[in-house]
Formats: sequence, C-alpha cells, structure tokens
Amino acid sequence: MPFSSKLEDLMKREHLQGLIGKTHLLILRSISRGERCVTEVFDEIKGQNYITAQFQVVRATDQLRRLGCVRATGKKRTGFMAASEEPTYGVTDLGRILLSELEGKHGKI
Amino acid sequence: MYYGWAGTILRVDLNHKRVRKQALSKELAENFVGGRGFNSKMLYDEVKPGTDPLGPENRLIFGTGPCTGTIVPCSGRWTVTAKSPTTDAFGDANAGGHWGAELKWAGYDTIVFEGRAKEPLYLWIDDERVELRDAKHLWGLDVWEATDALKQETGDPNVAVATIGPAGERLSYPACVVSDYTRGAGKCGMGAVMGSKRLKAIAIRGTRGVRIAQPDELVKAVEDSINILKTEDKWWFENFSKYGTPIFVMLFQHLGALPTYNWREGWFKDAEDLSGELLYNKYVKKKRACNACVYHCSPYCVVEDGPYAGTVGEGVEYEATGGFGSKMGNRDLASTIAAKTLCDKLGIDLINCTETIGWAMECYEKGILTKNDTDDLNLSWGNPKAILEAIRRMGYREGKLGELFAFGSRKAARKTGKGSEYYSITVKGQQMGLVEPRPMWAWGLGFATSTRGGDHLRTQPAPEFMFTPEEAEKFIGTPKISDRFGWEGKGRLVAWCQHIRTINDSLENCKYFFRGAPRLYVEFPARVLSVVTGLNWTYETVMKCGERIYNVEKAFNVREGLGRRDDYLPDRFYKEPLSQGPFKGTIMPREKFDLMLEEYYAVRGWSRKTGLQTREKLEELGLKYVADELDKMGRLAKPSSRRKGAKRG
Repeated sequence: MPFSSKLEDLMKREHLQGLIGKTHLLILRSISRGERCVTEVFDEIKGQNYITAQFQVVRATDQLRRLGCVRATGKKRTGFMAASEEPTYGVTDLGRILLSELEGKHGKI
Repeated sequence: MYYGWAGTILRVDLNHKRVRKQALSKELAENFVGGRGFNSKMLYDEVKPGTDPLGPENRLIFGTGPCTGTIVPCSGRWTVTAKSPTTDAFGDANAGGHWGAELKWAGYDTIVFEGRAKEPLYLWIDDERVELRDAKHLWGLDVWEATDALKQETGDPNVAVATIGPAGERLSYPACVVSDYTRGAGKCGMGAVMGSKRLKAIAIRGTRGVRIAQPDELVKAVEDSINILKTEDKWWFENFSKYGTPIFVMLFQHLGALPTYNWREGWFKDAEDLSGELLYNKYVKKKRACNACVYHCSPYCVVEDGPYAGTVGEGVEYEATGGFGSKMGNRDLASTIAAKTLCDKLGIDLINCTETIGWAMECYEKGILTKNDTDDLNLSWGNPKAILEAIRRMGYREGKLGELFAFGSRKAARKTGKGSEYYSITVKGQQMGLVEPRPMWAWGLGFATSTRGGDHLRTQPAPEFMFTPEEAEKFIGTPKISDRFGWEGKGRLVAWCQHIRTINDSLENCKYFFRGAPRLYVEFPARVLSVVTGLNWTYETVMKCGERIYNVEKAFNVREGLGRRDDYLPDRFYKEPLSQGPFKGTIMPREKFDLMLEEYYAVRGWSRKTGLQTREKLEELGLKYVADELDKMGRLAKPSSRRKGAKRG
C-alpha cells in the first residue's frame, strides 16, 4: 500500500523512498505519547524490529525531522554522550498522518 | 595519457641504488583502481611464499589513488604494503595527511622498493627528479627531528616527509611509518620492514597536479556528496567534525564495546574522564585536516598544566585516549596525549603498542611477568608513568622489556609462554583495533576475516549500528543485520563492507566519509571515479574491483598456509562473558560465530567448510593465474566442497 501522495513526494525529495517503515512507526508512536528525546525513545523501543543501537533511532528520527513529521521542541540532558544535551521531539500534524498510514501498512505492532 | 592516475610507477632498487620509472598498465588501473589495490596486486605477484618479511626479497610499496591530490572529499590518504613481520602474512597500513597528495602531484601513483641498502638512505622526489641520498646523518633521529632536518636540507618547508623513527631502525614490530609528523601508517610492522631496508625516509615536493577528465562534473559530484553527508548523516557530520575519533570513547561505552583492562570488559567506570568531549573542552586548541578533508577531525592538543605540561600533540585519536586509557585501566587523559605524542616521535603504531602493553599489564597482574622481566618497571593497571616508560623502551628496544616488546604481543607471548598467549588479543597475529566484539557481532566477524589480521578498518561494519533496519534491508538485503547480537545476515554485511572499504582504500578515500548515509556508499565511488578518470564506472564494476582485490590479498595468505583456523577471534571472546556495564553477561557464542563465518564464506563463493577460494570464483574475477598457482600448491577448495557451499549460499 503506497503512502499518500504528499508523503510520497516528500520522501522522494528527501531520497527516502522505501526507507520509511516499522522503525519510524515505533518512534512516532512513542513520541505521540509525549515529547521525548532519542535516548528515551530508544529505551522504549529497543529489541523491537531489530533495533539494538541508539544510532538507529538517531538516524530514523532525523529522517522524520527532514520529512516534517517531528519537530524539535526543547533540550534535555540525558548522558547519551558525556557532555551533550539532546533535543526533545514532538509529533507534527503530518507526523500523525504518517503514523496512521504506517499503522495501516504494518498493523499496530 | 591517463586522467586521475599519474601514469607512472617508481621502481627503486636499494641493492644497486637505482631508480627507474615504469608506465602504469591499463590492466592494473582498471582492475585494481589504485592505492591499496595496486599495492596488493604487486605484492602478490612479486613476493614469493615463505619470504622473510625483514629480508631484502620483501617489497615495500607505497601507493596513492586516482582521486588523491584532487578535491574529492577526504581523498588525502595513502597505503604502504609489504609482507608483515607481525603476522608473517599479507600486511599493509594506511595514513592520511598531505604526503600522499604530494607524491601524486610529483607525478607518481606508486613507489616499489626492493632489496636492502648497504647504508642508510632516503629517497628525494622533486617532480621529475628522483634520487637516493645518504641518510647516515638522519639515522638515530626521531620522526619529528628527521622531518625537520629534511625540510631544512631540501630548503623547502612544504616538502612532505614520511619517515621511520628509532623503533623502525631497530626493526621493532610495532614500528610504523609516520608522515607529516603525526600521521602513522600503523598496522603490520611496516616501519620495521622500512628499517630492514635501511630506508630512513621519503621526502617529496610535487607541483605538477592531477589531470581530471571532467572538471565541471567533478565539482558537482563533490558538492552533491558533501550535501548528502551534511543532510543525510547530520549527527555524524556535526559531531565527528567537532570531536574527531575521541568521540568513540563514550559512543562505544554506551554500546558496551569500549575495551577495558586488556579486553576483559567492554565498559569502563571512568570513561567520562577520557571522553572526546572532555578532550575537546580541556586540551584542543584547534582542528587540523588531511588533504581535501571536509571534517577537520584531527585535534591539535596542548597540555598546559600537571605532570605532562608542555606536551603538544596532533591527531590525538580514540586509539590513544581509549588504548592508553580504558584498555590499561588509566583515567588520566593528559597522559594519553603524552603517550600518543611519544609514539609519533619514536615511530610506533598505537594499536600494536597499546595491545602489547595491555597484554604485559595483564600478565604482570597474573604473575606471568615479574619485575625481573620488566627491569623493575611496575606494570600495574592505570599507571601512566609506567605506560610512558614502557613506550620509550619499546621504541629504543631497551632492556629485557624493550626486547620483548619489539616482537609485539603475539610473538612476545609465544616467547614468554606460561599461558600468556591467552591474553594476547590478536587475529592472525595482528593486534585488534579498539572495538569490543562481544556486543558487536559483525565487528567480530570483520576482525576475524580481515586479510591483514585483527583489524577494524578492513571491514568497519558501521551499518550494523548506524543504518536503520529499513536501510539495512534496502542496501544489504536484510534488516536482521541491525540486531547487534544476531548472526543472520552478518556474513553478507561483512563481505559487502569489505568490498566497499577495499574501494575506499584503493581510491585512498577516508572511511569516515562513509558512515551512516547509504547513498554515499553506493553512489559516490563510481561517480567520482568516472568523472576523475573519464572511464565508465558503475556500482557493480566498483564492487567487483573491491572483491577482486580482497581475493588477491586472501590468496596471498592462503599461499602462506593460512586457512579457516586463522579466521577466529581470540578465545577470551568465546569464553568470558562481560561482567560489567549495560551488556553484562554477553558473550560471543562460538557456535553462532561458526554460523556467521560459514554464511560469510558462502556469500564470498569460497568453500563453506575450509574457507579456501574456489577456481570458479577466482576465474570470475579474472584471477585464473592465482587459481592455477593455488591449485598447484593444493590450496584451492576441492570441487565437492565448492558445490556444497554454492548450494547453501
């Protein structure tokens, strides 16, 4: 089942065709429950869909940001790297559409 | 006339002090790409099995790639290749800086040294003019002194120098070749081979540039690739540019993959004291770059106070902060800067050095080595003064300990006996780069199957933890590789990465340009090769070259008698679970490792049972003469095992 045309166009523009899937569904669902940083999302979803490293979530979240499906909302110190603060993310309206379409594709995993 | 390649190979006969220029063949250029590829092919063809690595019959080959000296991002690297005294098998080492570009601008792709000089010499290259010069006055100088002396002697501060230090002169196996003061071509004892040839240095001034087939297209390709890096690998670009490889201390700590106490653990309680962030905030004064680099990852550090005040060093990297840090139970960051700088001056490879000292520290703890063996040096964990003194003795081959260290950890362990071999963390005799494999299984398989022994750079399977599962499925063929603790798909991933990394090394392109963005892996090499050389390269032809080069290196090792038994990790990783950190209890199960290894052999078209190459694979790669030679030696996979492997693959 293809994505809606707006999302397809965005994915094409960002060279992300065929690269948005279950990982993004898990991230969107996590963030849709409240603003979270990548470390918090990773702690929630690790072990599902072969996700075993924080970087996988860093990359997938950044892809969602490029599509306009999540937006940075603030910063939080989590200790992921020794001195860094991580951005927190919230889901945008477009992100909710993508979440719904991904649930249609993959079910409510 | 070539584009990209300079078109000339320098042949230097040290026995007779003769230099001749040989035209680059089209066959070599188009099938082996350049740099590591040229070197590997020439080593296979010119060094017979059983050759003494420190004897005059060994070759010492320096190579640049078709993109070296151009504006292609991160293309400033070079490779030196020889049969290795550390492994008695295939050996090479790779470094950055500006020396490779200077060689290319002088008009040469490759330099091949053969024989042994009667007295110390150095090679002086000034564009067309190439001559061997007396180096007696340089012998005994450290790397920085020799580099300064050659710049003064040639009267040109822009001369690029690659030289050995006291360690190489004394044929110490941990010796490396250092260019541009701090860029060590560190693996496989290349400095010892250079010392055995009584070749102190190669000094170059090049002003002739590189011909580009499609200059306007090259500018577009470069702009596009940098844009991909900045947008599709944003986190990596921003953080690696700022911190350089020292960022790996905390990154691997979080992955449970920071080698600690000589690989006993993958987590260090004081890791934050060694972090890249602390290094950056406290000691980094500016950042420097290799030729054409977009990252500028090399930190220039100054220690202003404390016991190491006055230490100035460049290129302080993870193998220093982690290697002299967590691996030795040492939390003193400033001491790791001092240790790295001392290695640069003495011409010592960081990885061999830190492995050998780490091995000795564990042996000292166990009572296998005593003060009688160390000439009273206290090799307890976390003793930075002892670490620095141990490096000095290694470099000058001084006393009992220096003599022992001169063989590197594996051969030192064999000499020591008493069970010390267990604590030598090597594969095929080569000391392993600083990634703990128990929670990173593709890295483990990569170490085990590397053609130059336990080496993280031969494979560098970053996709295992950096690609999303969706990217893994699209580009590798399965999302399962994203499971760091799973075996399925790892053979496929490792072979794929080895081909890509072989091409990185043959283009002489830095591997850190290829990290998290899959598009760079699959689009960039063929595109830049096409616009630089004017030939039509595709992803498929590039990958085929990578596979061909890897098979030539493998065949070199098979010819030396290596086989499946040499494609395993040290026993520690199969037997000892990690006892601390986020992945406490983790082990590399041997039976799972065997499954990965057999999948890897099958993907490669080698015998699943023996790991030996098959005639059909070698002939498919245009290497019939290699198949014929291995067949004559009885070192080719038997047809029956070939069919079995093909069916399952």
